[in-house]
Amino acid sequence: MTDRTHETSANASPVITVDGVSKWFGNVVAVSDITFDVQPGITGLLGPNGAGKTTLLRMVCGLASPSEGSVTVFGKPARSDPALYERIGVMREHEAVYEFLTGRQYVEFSAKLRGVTDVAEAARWAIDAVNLAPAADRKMGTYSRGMRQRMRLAASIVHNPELLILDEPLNGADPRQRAEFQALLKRMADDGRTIMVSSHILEEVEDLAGSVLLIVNGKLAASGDYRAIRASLNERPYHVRIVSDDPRKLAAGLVQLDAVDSVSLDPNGALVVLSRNVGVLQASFAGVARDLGVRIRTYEPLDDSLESVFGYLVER
Amino acid sequence: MSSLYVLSLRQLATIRRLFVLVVLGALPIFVSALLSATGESDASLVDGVLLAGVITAAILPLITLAVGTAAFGNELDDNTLSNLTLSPYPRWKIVAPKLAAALTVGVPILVISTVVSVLIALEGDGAAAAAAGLGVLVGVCVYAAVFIWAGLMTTRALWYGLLYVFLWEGLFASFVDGVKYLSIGQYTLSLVHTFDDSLLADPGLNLVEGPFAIAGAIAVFAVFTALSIRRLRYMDVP
Repeated sequence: MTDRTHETSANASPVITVDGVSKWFGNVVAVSDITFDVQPGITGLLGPNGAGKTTLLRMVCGLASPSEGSVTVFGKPARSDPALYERIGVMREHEAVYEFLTGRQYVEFSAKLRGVTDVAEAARWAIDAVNLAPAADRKMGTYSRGMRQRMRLAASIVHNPELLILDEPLNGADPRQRAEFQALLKRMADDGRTIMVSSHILEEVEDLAGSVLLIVNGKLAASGDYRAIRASLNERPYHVRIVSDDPRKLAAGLVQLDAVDSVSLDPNGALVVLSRNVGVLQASFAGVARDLGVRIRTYEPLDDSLESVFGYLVER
Repeated sequence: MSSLYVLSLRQLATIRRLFVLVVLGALPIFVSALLSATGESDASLVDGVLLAGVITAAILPLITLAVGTAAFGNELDDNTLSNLTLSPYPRWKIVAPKLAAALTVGVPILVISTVVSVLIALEGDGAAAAAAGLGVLVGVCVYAAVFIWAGLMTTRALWYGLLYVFLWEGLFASFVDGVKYLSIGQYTLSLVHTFDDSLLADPGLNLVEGPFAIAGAIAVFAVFTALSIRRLRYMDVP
């Protein structure tokens, strides 16, 4: 493999343009009027399960047609020109592989389908990139979930694509594999590629993507710099349940904090604190308890589920 | 294309599927041997029971249904079809190896079964056996094109295919006169008769004319192959 980097220019036109795209299945609206552009680098597509991420990615990579709106990739309609797939690598959410093939055969098959000239060398490079060389000649039916994911990634990058679309690629990966995966994607982005990666886990995208698209209930809830979105999350109303040995004394101390909007006592004698600045609350409450001589037994966020977090952003 | 052909062949030629197909393919040989052993193998029985009945009405469409619908059906069931459609290959280069793989599995079983059973029934009449084998070969190709398209259209292609085989090909084509012009089974029988006019010579069989059968077989094959290519181009891949 000679040169596996891609040139980019600062004022290049968007790699992906999604314009007013909707997709419905019968009466079910999966994606509703979404518009965005994707530039080179890593873009995270974030949203809870069932939000419409996979449907959106299927339209971006041309596997499904929008019911309304248009998707262009490299300036061309995504579904009209199979030759585009020489420049696109896709790793689907499905973990399906040809179990009777070895990992190497699978990656080589993918290379042949994509018109790679030096198939053996390209496969070797891709398998090395995902650190699976020792298992490359085993049948994929014997692989663990994480190994399958990595070999599928190898098959997606074997033709050195300029655009990589990855749907929940970190599913099934253990923490070490996750770190390797993320490092590989960052290296590929540094080489000038455009990578769009979906996840339903905030922290995965936080570690990976500078720019995110947040999709909830089929709608684009937020887009832009990850840190700005994360900061706005910290301002949302936030309920915390605190169990202590003296809740009334702790309540009197906590209401003095600017970060606390209200404090109430639940039927079990625990404090329920409402805050719009959870960062300050988390930093301060332990100090307040210590100063008052109150022992904290439990500190429990009541609405920290992903759906709650994403729902807040949609309501804003 | 060769790598996709090899992959498709490996998907289709599983031991279990081959076992079932070979057992089905042995049925005409068994019937033929039975006719021969009981001294009942006159021309009308060979035509009516063996060629028009067991082979053309049952074994030919059923074996081709099994391999034709599985050609893309396996990919749809396993969610691997996107591996193929996300490639820069022109879509005909995906359909052609699938069709070739289906024929590679179906043709030997059906043609050998037909030739051997006719040889047994007609006591070594090589010309008749070759004509029957050739007619069945055309029938497999045409049925395969239809069932490959069906496998792309629905994950229930096998069940719809069974309905089609028994209702359209088995019932309507036999009892509703005009339907025979739209029946692959009737084209097959007509071609067998065209290749050897001593077979299926009874006017009561009311076969379609030979040239019409040839044109019809070519047209159905071409149209359904084109429909498969078009389907692959425009379908929403799960």
